[in-house]
Amino acid sequence: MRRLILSSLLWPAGLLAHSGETHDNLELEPTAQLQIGAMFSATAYSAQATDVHGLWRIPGLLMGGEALPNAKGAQVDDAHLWARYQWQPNSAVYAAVGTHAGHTELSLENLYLDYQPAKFEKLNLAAGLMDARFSPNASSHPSERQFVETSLLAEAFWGGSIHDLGLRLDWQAHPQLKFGVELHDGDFFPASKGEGAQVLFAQTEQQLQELKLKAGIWGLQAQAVQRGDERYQTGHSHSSSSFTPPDVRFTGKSALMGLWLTSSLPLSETLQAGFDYEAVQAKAEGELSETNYQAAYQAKHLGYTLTPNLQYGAWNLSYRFEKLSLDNRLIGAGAAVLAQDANLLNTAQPQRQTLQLAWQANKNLLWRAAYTQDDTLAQADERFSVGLVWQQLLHEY
Amino acid sequence: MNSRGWLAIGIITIMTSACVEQDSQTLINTGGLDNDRSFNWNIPANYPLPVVHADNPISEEKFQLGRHLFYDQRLSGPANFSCASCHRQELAFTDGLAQAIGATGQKHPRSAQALVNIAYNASVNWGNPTTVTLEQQAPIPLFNEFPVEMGVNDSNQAQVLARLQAEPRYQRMFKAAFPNETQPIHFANIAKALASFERGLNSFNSPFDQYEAGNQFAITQAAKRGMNLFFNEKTECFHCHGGMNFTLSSFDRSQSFADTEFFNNGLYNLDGKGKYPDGGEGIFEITGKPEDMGRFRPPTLRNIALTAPYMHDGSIESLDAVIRHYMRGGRHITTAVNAGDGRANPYKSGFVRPFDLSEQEIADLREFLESLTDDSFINNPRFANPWAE
Repeated sequence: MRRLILSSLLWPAGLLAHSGETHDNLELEPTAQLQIGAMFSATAYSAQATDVHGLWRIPGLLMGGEALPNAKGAQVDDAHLWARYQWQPNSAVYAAVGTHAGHTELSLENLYLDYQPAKFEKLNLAAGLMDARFSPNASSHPSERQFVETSLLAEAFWGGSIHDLGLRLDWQAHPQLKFGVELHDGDFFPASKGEGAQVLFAQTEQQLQELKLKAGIWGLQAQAVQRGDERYQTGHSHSSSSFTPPDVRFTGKSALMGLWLTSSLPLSETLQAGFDYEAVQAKAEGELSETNYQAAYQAKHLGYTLTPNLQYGAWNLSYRFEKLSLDNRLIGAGAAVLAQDANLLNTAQPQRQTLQLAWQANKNLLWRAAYTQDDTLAQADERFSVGLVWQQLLHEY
Repeated sequence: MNSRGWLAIGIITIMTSACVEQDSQTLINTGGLDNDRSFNWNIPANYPLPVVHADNPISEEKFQLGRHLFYDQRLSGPANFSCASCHRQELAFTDGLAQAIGATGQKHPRSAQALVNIAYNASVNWGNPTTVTLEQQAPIPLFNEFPVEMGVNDSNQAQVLARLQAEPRYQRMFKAAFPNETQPIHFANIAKALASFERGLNSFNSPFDQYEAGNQFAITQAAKRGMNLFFNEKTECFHCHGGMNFTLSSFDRSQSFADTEFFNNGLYNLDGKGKYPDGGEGIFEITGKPEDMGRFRPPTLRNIALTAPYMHDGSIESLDAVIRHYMRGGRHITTAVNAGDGRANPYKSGFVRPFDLSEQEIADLREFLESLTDDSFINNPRFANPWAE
């Protein structure tokens, strides 16, 4: 049986399996002791979504993490080398190194221990530097997801992707039902390092005749102390002529709740319809401060993404609609200044639409072309992109 | 096809999507800080108001009293000198001299400061971090002895007050400004009235302000180029002269903390170890800390084209020369007194570093600075000499 990249890109594989990364398109042998693989994505874009200062700061939203726009022209979206070593039937270690667009250095992305107690087979424990798994959008790389661009939800509410030092405990309560908890160090937006973040989630997998359905609900809370938008503050140099936005800091709590589902239904032997959906509510309460200003801050942000798609043989046509609603309240002497400096003055509902055609050229190679209408900034933007994804199992025994 | 399944998905999607939309908005509550906009501040509504101290609330009566006192020579010891002698409206309330000269002819080590938006000053003097209110500042020129400014002292202050009490207009104005006092003509109230007048000297109507308000034609193309140079990491100008008052040393009601900023900009280096001339050593004179040698408060650049000569001691004659000073990263004096290489001053601010500009860029930057001149401020009859009316 050949499993295609396309299938893994369309499905959040591994969500209901015990913790592990999403490489199941590569026909991984579950009993193999050592597996080494690689994945790579590269894309050329016709334009870049940035404001007049060359930055991607969505009005009405405190942003951070790795929520960076693609660059105009060709770029390597990500390149990863990973390995999984299982020295006992119930114990494995997983490691991945890689690089992302905008980074020149190689970094350790994952290094964690996966352990299933012999006496409690329904439990699975993972500990180390790992990806969050509470949602299909929680953590992903361009080379392992359907669209090359990170979902707007993830960009807006957790800085694109969560991989952090932490602990995850899964309980497979029923073959179709799993509960889990994740405890993170907090080295990701909207948390600040060392302040911690905690996640609870429940996920289910159902098959209603030919309809396959996966769904989940989750809640995340995070703490932040003096959290700035590090995307445009770190590396600031006075010899550079680039614009540096005001360094507004957030201290307080963030509480996020989400609901997601993915589904697919064969319409014929060669045609399959699919539908993915996720909705998130993000609340924040705390204080905004700048060198001389401070104000109390409350936010209630909502967002959702809908993705219907059709798969015909090796071809997949998909459409993604994403929308945010942003409600902010600032109270205090510095409220007006901070609202402006933090780029919070906004009455628009940022949204983005993407139409993509993907072609699975062979087991390891996929091409994708997309058109994006981007209304996340004050000035609308549209862009085209063409790219490829390569995934390869390099070694297995 | 499983129609019930799709139906269920459709219902869930519609319901949750309906729940995850709301109007985007950002509500701002400043806690009623704009309540006293009834006073004629000469400050646009979109700018925060300056801080007013609780023991001297602003009023039109106090402002007008302060204006009369400001222009009144009878307030000086010899009755020949007023605040306006060193603070002339047509020069944005400075005097055009390198160093001010007081009522007795004594030269001041500092250049008279422009009185532009000083209500926002986080600290008031060129080089004193402890004087932070206009009420603290107002008595200093009245009673200063080293050097003498207005020349009021123990021997003549009763005479000065008697002159004011003899003026019918003051009898009426002091009572209106301080209605709860039976004998309101005294120096504490004089200081409060002067502070109130100075607090009202605000300038926000330059061509640059009009450009910021949306009039694309309010400033020239050269000024726009100059503005880009000003707000550029290459020249670093905005780091010390940023914000609505073009100075980092600015404090308003929206702020929780005041920055009493002072910088050494490489004017002198008498001994190769950072020494500035005696009497002009900046906040070092107050703190005694070596690192404070030569550190002075960055003044506002609003109306800067009117306030030459420049620096705390008026030692640079023109805007062109100021720009070239910063291009060189400081001043190297090779002849006459005060020789030394200020560029190598160990206490110089890190923002003062050499950079290159073409002659065209220098002209552009100068034109931007000239676009900060507010003609309505220097011609505003509200700020003019009331005794001439």
